[in-house]
Amino acid sequence: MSLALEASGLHKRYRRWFFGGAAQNALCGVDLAIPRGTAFGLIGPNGAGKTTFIKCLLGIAWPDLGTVQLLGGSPQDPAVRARVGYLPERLHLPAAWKPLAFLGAVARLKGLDARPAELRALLQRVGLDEGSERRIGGFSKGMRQRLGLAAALIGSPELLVLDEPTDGVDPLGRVEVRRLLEAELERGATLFVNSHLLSEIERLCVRIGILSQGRLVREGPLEELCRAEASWEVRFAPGMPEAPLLAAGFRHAAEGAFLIDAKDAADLNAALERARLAGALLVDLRRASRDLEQVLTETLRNSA
Amino acid sequence: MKPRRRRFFWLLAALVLLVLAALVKRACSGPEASSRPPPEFPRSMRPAESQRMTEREVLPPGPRPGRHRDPVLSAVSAPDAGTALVFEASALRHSPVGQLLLDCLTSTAGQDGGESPLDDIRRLGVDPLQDLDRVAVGDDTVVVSGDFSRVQWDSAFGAASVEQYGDTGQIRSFGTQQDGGASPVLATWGNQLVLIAPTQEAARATLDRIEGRSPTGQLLGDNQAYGDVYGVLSGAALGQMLGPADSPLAAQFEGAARSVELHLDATRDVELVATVSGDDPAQLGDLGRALGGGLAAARARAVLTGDTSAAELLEYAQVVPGSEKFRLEMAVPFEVLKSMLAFCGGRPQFDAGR
Amino acid sequence: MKTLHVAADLLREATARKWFLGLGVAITALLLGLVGGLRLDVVDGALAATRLFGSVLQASVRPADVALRPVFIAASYLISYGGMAFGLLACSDFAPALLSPGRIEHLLSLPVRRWELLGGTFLGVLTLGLIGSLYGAGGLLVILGAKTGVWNWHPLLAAVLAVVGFGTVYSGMLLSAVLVRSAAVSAACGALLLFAGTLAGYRTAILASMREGPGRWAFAAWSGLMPSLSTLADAAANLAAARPVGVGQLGGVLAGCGLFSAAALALAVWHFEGKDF
Repeated sequence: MSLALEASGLHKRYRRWFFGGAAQNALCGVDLAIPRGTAFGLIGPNGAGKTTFIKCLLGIAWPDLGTVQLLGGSPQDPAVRARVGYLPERLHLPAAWKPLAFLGAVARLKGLDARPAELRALLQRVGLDEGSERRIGGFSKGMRQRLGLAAALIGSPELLVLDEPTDGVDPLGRVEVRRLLEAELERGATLFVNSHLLSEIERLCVRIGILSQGRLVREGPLEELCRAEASWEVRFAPGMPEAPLLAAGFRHAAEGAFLIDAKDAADLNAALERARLAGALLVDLRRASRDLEQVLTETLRNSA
Repeated sequence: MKPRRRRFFWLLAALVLLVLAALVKRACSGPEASSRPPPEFPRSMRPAESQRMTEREVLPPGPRPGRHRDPVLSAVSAPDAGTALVFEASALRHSPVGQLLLDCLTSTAGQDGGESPLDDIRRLGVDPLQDLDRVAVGDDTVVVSGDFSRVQWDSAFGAASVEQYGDTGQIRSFGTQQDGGASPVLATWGNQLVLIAPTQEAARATLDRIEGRSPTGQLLGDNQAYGDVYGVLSGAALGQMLGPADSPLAAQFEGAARSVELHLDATRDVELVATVSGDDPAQLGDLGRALGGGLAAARARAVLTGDTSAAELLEYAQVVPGSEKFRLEMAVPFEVLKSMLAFCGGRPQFDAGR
Repeated sequence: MKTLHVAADLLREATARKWFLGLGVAITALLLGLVGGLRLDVVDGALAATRLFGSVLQASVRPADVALRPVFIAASYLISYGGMAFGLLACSDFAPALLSPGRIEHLLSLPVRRWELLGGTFLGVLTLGLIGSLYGAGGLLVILGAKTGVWNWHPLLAAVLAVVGFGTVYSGMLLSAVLVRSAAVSAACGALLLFAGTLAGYRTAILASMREGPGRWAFAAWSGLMPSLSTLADAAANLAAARPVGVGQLGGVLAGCGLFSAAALALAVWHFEGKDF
C-alpha cells in the first residue's frame, strides 16, 4: 500500500539565540506512516509538538534529524506541495480582498488556472456563496475558516493537512465541513487532521496518533485504541430485574446495557452463565469501548 | 534537514556580489571628465577689480570734490560724451581670446610677407605685450595707457609740431593728410598716456580733464570699471555696430535704447553683460523680448547644426527685464571666436606722418 | 514564474492601502495644480515669463528648454530622495506582513520556492515605485510640454534611475525584515542605508577632509561597499535636465547598485531558506 505520508525519526529542537532561555525539544524522534486514502487524526495536549510536526511535514520548519516523504516525494519539491492542501491553524487572510480574489491568488500560486466559475463552485461547497461579494475583512471567524478550507481544496489535492479545521465554525457548519471532508475521502484524498475537538476526530478519522512531549506515544486504528481490553458490553432482554445481574457482577452502562469485566473467555462465560441462571436472556454481546477523551487521558497519564 | 548546499550557494553568491559591487565602485570612481564649467558673467565688481581700481586712482580730486581719479576714465569721460569704452589690454593679452588675436596679428603679417602692426609699435620703443595697460575709446578720442618711457617721440614723429600743454602734456599735430583731411592729433600725458584726438581742441580738452582743470562727465564711473572690457555706448552707436542702418534690430536699438552699459569678461570664453536703458518701457520691453527670442532661436540653430559648444553656452544667455532697463547676458564660446578668426583681415594702417 | 504572481499580489495589496492611494491623490493634485495654476509665456521658443497662480516666478527671457531645467532638476531630486524616503516608510511592512504567522506558513505550503517569495516581494515593491515615479515624471513632462512646446522625455529616464536607487535601499530593508520581522526596524534600516548611500557618493571629498586614523579607515571601508545613491540622484537630475552625463560613471554606479541589491537579496534568501516558521 502506498503511503501518503512517511516520517522517520523526526527530531526538532528550538534554540534561543538571544535573550537566553533553555532550548526546547519539540519533536523527539517521531515515526509515522499514513497510507493513502485514510483519515488520520493527531491529538495531544498543548505544546505536544503537533503544529511543529505538521510544519516539518510541509517544509515550513526544518527538522534537525529525520526524513519526511510526502506522496512519495520530498516536501521541498514544489511539484509535491502542489498536490497538498493545507489549512493552518491561524490563517492570515488579506482583509481588503474579496474571497474570489484570494482564491484566485492561491490558485495561481498553485500553478492552476483561476477560473472564476470553479472558484465560485468551491465557495459554494464551503457554504460561502452568499459572502462572495463581501470583503474578507468583514467575515466572521467561521467564514474565514471556511474560506481557508476552500483555499486548501483548490486543485483537488491528494493530501489535505488541516490544523483545527472547524475552529470557530458553528455546530451546523461543522457538520457541513465533516461531510465535505468525507466527500474528499471518497474521492481518494488522504486527510491529516489536527484538532482539539475529539468528537470531530472520532467521527472523521479512522486512525489517530497521540503526541505528547514530542513523542508519538500511541498510534493506530481508532477502533483498536478505543477498545476496552477487559470489558464487555452486554444487553439482556427487557423485563429482567437488575438486582441479580448486579449481584452477578454486572454494572450499569448507558442506554440499558450492562458492563462486565472479564480477563479471559472463561471468566466471561462464567459471568454470562450466572446471568442466565438468574433468568436473564442475552440479546447482545460486544467488547466495550472508551471514548477518545478517555483514551487520551489514560495515555497521557501512562506516558507521564 | 536544512538544505545546506543550496543555502551555501546563496551565501557564496551574496559574498561574491558584494565584492563585485565594491570592485565596480572602485573601478568607476575616478575623476569624471567634467563638462564645460558655467560662464561667470561680470555682473558686479570683484575684489581683484576693486583693488585694481584703487591702485589706479592716482590723480587728486578734480573740480568736483570727491575721491581720487583714474586718469584713463577721466580722459574718456567728457561731460557730453555718449560713448566710453575701456579695454583692459594687459588682462586681455593673457586671455585665450587675447592670445587668439595676437596670433592672428602675427600670422597675418607672416602671410603677406609684411610686418604686423605690433612691429610698428615695437619700432616706437613700446613692447605691446608688456608696456600697454589699457585702451579707452571715447566719442572721438582714443586713450592708451601704459609705459611709454622708452619712446623717442621726437625722432619717431619728427615732422609733427609739438605743443606743451598743461603740467605734463604734449600735443603733436601733423597738419593735413594726403587726401586733404585733417590728420589726427597725437598727445601724451607724461609717460603714461597717449591720446589720439581728431583736433588739437579735443586733445586739450582731454588733457584738461586729466589734470583736473575741467570736470569729467558721469558717463563711466569708478564703480563701473569691472570686466576685461567695460563702458557705456549710446543706443545709436550700438545699433550701428549691430548691423546696417536699415536692419530691424539696429533700428529697434536706436529707437528704444538710450544707452548700453557693457561689461565683458574674457578669462575663459567671452561673457558679456549688457544693461540697456531707455525712456519708453514698452519699447524697451519689446526690444528685450526680441533679443531673448533671437538668442533662443540662435541656440535652436546651434542645436540643429550640432554646434554643441555654442548651444551649451547659449543656454546661459538670457534677458532679464527691469522697469526702465533690461539686462542681456550671453556668452560666446572660445571655439566660436576661434572659427571667426580663422581668416584674419589685412594689416591696419597707422599714418605716423613720416 | 511564481515570482511575478507574488509581485502581482503585492500590487493588489498595495492598491488597498491608504498610503498609496494618498500618494496617487497627492501626485495627481500636484499635477492638476500645475495645469491650472502654471502659466508659461513662450515667445519664439523663449520662455518669457513664468507665473504660478498669478505670481511671477521668473521674468527673464531664456530658451524655454533651458529655463525649464531647474524644474526638471528639482522634480528629479524630489522623485529620487523624496520617493526613496516615502518608499521606505510606505513599503516597510510589506516584507514583515509576508512573514507574519498564518501567512508565511500558508505560502510555504504552496508550490512556491522560498526565493520566489522574496523575489516577488522585491519586484512588486520596485514596480510600485516605478509606477509612482513614472506617473509623477510623466505627468510633469506632459504638462510642461503642452504649455511650452518643449518635450523632454529625460525625466522619465531620471525616474527609472531613482527607482534603481530605491531598489538598492529596499533590498536592505528586505534583508532586515527577514532577520528581524519588524516594519520599524526595516524602515530604520532603509533610512540608514539611504543616509549611508548619500554619504558614499561624496566619499572622495569626505575622505580628503578627514585625518588619517581609524575613523578614516572605517569610513573608507564601509563607504567603499555602500552604493553611491547621491551620485545616482545627481546623474538622474542631470539626465532630467538634458545635461551631459558621464556614461562610464553612470554605468558604474548603476552596476554597483544592482550588484549591491543582488547581494542583499542573496543574503536574505540565504537566511530565509534556513528559517523555521
